[in-house]
Amino acid sequence: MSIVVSNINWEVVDEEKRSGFTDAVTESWEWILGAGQPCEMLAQLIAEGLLGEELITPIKERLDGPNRASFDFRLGSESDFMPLLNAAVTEAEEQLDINDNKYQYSMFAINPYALIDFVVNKVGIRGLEAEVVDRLFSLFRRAADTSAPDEVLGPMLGSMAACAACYIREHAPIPDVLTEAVGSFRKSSHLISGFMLGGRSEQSWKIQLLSVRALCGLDSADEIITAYLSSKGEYESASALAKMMPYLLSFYWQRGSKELQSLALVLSELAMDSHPEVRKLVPQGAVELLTTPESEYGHRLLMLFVRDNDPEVRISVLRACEDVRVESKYRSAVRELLAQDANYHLRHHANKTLQ
Amino acid sequence: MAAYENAIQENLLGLFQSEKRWGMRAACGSAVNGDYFDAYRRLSESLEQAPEGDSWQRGVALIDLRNYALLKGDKGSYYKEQEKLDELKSTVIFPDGEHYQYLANDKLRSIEAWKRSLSVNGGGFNGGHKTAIEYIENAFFSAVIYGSYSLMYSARKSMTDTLLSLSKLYEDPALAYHALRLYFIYGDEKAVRNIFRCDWPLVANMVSGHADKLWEAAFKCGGIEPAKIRCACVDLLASYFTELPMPNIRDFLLDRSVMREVPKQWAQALKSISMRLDSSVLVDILVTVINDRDSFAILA
Repeated sequence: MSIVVSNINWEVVDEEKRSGFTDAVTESWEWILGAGQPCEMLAQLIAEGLLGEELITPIKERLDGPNRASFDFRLGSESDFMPLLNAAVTEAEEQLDINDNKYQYSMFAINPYALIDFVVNKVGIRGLEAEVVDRLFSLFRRAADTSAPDEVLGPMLGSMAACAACYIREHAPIPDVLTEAVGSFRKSSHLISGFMLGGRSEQSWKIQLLSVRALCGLDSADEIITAYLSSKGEYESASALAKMMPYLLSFYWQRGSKELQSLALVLSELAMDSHPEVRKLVPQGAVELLTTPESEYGHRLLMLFVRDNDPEVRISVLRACEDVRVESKYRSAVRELLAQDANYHLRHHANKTLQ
Repeated sequence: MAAYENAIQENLLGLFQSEKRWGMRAACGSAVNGDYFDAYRRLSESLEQAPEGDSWQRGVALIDLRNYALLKGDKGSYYKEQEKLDELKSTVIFPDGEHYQYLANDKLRSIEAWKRSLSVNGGGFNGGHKTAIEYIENAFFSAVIYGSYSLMYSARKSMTDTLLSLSKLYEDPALAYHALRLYFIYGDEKAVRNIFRCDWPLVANMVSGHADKLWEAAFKCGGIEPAKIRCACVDLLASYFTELPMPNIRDFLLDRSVMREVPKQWAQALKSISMRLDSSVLVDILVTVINDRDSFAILA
């Protein structure tokens, strides 16, 4: 619903219809939240002045955890990320308490790690309050000692990689507590059998772990590449590596290592993957390559994706190119092609966001 | 062209010739040309003249008759032939389901043969591909009527794939449109969504004034859940077509029965079209959803 609401141009809607809509929402906001609709839509309507500010307090009373933080975030200037991160870490701690066993896995509607990754990538780890970061790293350390399955620890490894990559990007040493937590993670995979919703496999666990260990200097890129090649053709592994690729490319470029070229080759292998879900993840890596000496290679990959059969993959190119680090010459080359795309939405967004 | 027509004739008519069914060849010839009235007439006549004894063959002919009646849109004849068939079934031992299976396999084999002959002769019959579409559509209808689900699925897939490749080969958007129309007739939402995966230059070629026809086809489509197909159609039109049948789309999205029947697909269609709908229409839709709590609960 929030997407639909964001597409309404309220200036052209006549007063009668507008008040009909606001009356309906004001009467039913409780029901809307109770029916499981995200609170973002209400925040959006309040921020646009369509709903009265007197609704803020009762709505907040109905919300808790990351939902409440997200509501505040949308209503505020969208610059105070700390309550959001704080709520996400608390949620992650609570979820780990419940999933701290090897026989059973409870899946939650809220994914706190997506929020953690969002905040860490947006603000950078050194811009965050030390206390919350300490809590996050303690959570990682505690998780390493639990017997929780891959379904729980996998997303956490993703967040650990995001944190490590942030230190690398900011040219700061990775704290010992993070390296120690990464080093303590079990190397063998433990999946809850018959519960494969997360698209995980033994090999994907190995690739994820090796990637995080490589970022912390505990393993080398060769091992990751070997693990990937030994499971080539497996969707889960390819997807896990494609997610880690931007971090790895950034890391090896900063180290000035020869491994950057090998990883660029692996990225082009991933670009040829038959699964569109994997290909969707590669443009992010290609954008990372644009900032390295291998920029021409990254550019060629992006051009390849602009012609991909799957519109979702082409949309991912668009999103990746929104990154401020992408030079205008690359951005305009992508825009020129996407502006002629057969898909209306792609044409519209290409013209709107890549101008 | 001649080679192509021969291949079609051999593959289609040879099938019936070898079985020596009375009058079926002529009837089938008419059906292939899309003249189901003539097909029905010829087969009825030949059936009246047929010797009694061979009940199995009679039964098979009755199945064809019933189907031709359906294709020419004559429900009265359809029920009449079905009644005769039921009557025959009570006196003749049909191998349980086997003849249906047998016929379905035959149809599938002939479709595959056409597909092969099209790929062999495809480059040679300039312009002949338009005739090929008619043959393919007829084969499709036969397969749908006779086939089991898996056979129908194979038949659909092989025919639409052929249409799309021909469309690319001849750079003819009308063929892609035919493929889409068939997808709608299948009544299979996944099949409609498959079109999103096809070559984008091909889809770009299709943006040429077919929106109204597609919408019409989507509304005539059958299948288990036609509303799903219509939602997929909205999604498709929103993504690829420049001019849209807006009043139809608006009425469709405001239809509460659709919201309740296929909430997920309805929501996807609304999301997709929302950028192109008039803002006041969007407000109307949202107010309808919010005020209709049952629909809203399902959507949420």
